[in-house]
Amino acid sequence: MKKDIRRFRRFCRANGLSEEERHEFSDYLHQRKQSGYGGSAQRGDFTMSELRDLLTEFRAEED
Amino acid sequence: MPTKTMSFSQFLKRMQFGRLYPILQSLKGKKCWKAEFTYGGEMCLHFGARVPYANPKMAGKSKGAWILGTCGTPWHIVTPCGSLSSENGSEQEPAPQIKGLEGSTVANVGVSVPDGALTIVFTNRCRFLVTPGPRDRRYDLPYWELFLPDHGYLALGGENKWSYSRSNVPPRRQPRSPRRKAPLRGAVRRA
Repeated sequence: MKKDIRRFRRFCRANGLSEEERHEFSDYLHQRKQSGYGGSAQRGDFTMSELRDLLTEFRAEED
Repeated sequence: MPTKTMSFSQFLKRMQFGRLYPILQSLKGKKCWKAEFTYGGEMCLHFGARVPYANPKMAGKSKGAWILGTCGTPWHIVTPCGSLSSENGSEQEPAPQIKGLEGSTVANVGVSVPDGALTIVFTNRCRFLVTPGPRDRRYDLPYWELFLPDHGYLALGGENKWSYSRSNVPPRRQPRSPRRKAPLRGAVRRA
């Protein structure tokens, strides 16, 4: 689990997300998973390319 | 960690835990109204005022003015009706102990040294503990983190290092390390 969290945080850091944005994005991904729109990786997690797409979508809403 | 040459009080002074204490104490008296998992299976507790999420994708949802994140570190809930730990707490079926934290008020907060364990005592005799172990030192992640009002961000990590910064500032780009020159083909290494 810690590995997954580290991987996710590295992704967020590399994409310039602040800690606050990272937490919000994380809640958004969890909400998606819970409502049956999880990713194609193990346990419904998201692959890197899925994360990239979702982040673009997430950021587009901010503008 | 205290060494043979450093007394325990010197250790505490060096780590500036005196500055950490008032930040943590701001959690006292705040009500926990949401205890849930977030992406990656991380347990989070939300305290204080309900703040709407900034992103329209999360419209209608709120987060706590204070949010404790466990960063994947083992946690335990001790209640008068039984205990639960991260090993047997399930994301799919939140146990009654997790839901039991919701609606309870923080009576006290403490950090133990040198392990960096966090203890939150609630007025209803429940306790929430984050207990880092040797395995948690292997990851470049905090043991636990606390989001505070006005964009405060407290994180305590390996070797009791802690930081207090702003949560709304994007990370600085790491400067690229200079590339090493590749050795010429056929170059002979000197012994």
